[in-house]
Amino acid sequence: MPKRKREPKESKLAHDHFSLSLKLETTDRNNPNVDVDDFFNTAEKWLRALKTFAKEQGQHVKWEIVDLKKASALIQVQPVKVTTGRPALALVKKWEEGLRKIEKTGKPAPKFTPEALSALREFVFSVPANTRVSIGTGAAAERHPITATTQRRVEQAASQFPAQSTGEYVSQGSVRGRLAVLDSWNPDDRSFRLQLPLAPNKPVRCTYRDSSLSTELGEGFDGMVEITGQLRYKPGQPWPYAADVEHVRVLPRKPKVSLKDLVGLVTLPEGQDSTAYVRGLRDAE
Amino acid sequence: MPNSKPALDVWDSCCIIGILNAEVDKLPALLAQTQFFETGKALLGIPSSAVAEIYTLSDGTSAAAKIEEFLNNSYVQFLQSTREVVTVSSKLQFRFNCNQIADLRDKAIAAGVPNKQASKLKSRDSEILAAAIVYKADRLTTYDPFLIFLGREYIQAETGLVISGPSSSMLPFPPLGNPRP
Repeated sequence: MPKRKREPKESKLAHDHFSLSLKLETTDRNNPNVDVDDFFNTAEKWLRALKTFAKEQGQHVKWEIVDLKKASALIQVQPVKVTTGRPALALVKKWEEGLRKIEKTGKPAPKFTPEALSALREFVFSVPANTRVSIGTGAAAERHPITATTQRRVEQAASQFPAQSTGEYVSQGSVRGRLAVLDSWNPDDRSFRLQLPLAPNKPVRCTYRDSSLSTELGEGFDGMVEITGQLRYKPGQPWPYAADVEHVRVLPRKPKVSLKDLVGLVTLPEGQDSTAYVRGLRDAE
Repeated sequence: MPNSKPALDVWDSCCIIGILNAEVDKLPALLAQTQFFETGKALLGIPSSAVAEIYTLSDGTSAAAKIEEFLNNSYVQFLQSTREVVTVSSKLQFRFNCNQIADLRDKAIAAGVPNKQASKLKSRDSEILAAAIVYKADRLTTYDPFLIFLGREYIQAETGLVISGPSSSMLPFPPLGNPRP
């Protein structure tokens, strides 16, 4: 394994030029500590985005932690060329420049391939609730918060690549989740976000054309709904990341019929029990 | 937005049908799970193929409306047969066949699986197992002896998915009429 030669004065300041940082801060005044799951989930997505970006640049690098401040939930990493052991400064610059361009224009930056943009998209949409996530170069340099604008711009940039190029697929179906963020009042952007109970950090971006759905959406806001339509999936992911919604069904906020209410509603033929009945159905196929 | 995830307990259709059919050996343990679903600690996952079996049984009967209403509960998650589920399902069917694993049948019979079920994983069973794996369920609740055997012998060690009847750590007390010693 090549040993990394240290620069004579590889100071903290030098690290700042070669490194990228991520910081999480809670916006909850009563609880200033960042949730550990939120931190690691976000950091994992951020690192995945960085690794994908490096891979797409053809750079064989590993990412080293150069600073980790638990008190402020800050992590600072730098790419190091595996062959030479030297920091990959150009990679950090390309990432930063590309990201700023995307944030400003909503267009894909030259160095961001569909895969890199897809990983970036996954990261910016993983921002935990009540938490401010900011990224930048180094620890001392100014960091930029991930905002709704950042998410919108990254989404715009990502949408300029055809879905097929990333192995995504579309399937008609339904999914249930909490109606989290509603933007039904803007006629150019009829969309909302659905928070899935089993993937709360990956909200489904839902768009719809039928303005009459806003009645159901208003009724179901902050509650559970079932949406039906064209669901968009990434390969290897069980839950959709986006949906073109055709129907919305508001689910009851409190259970109306429980398991106990189902007891004895049906009698199986010939005194069969459920295991034998189901086996019979499946063996008959 | 809450970011903590509830557990996912996937039920095979024999569980719901066991309740509908008021099977005394199954009711206490199955109904005891209600508290976890209704308090948000767990979600009840029902694969689409299991939903079809439940509907097939109740369609046209007076039970249909109540079942429909039950399935509208927000703690019920339908697990769709997505491309991933179908792919994993076909791989499972190919693998768990006595043509692929020579001693599969003998081991299954030794574990109490009836002879005629012990040779291979059938398509509907593999779809339910695949859904539980793809959706990263914590457990698959079933009374099917072959699925329980596969869970103990292969699946749990490989994926962490527990396959058994509803006598899990999610059940804090023994079935009614069988007091803790």
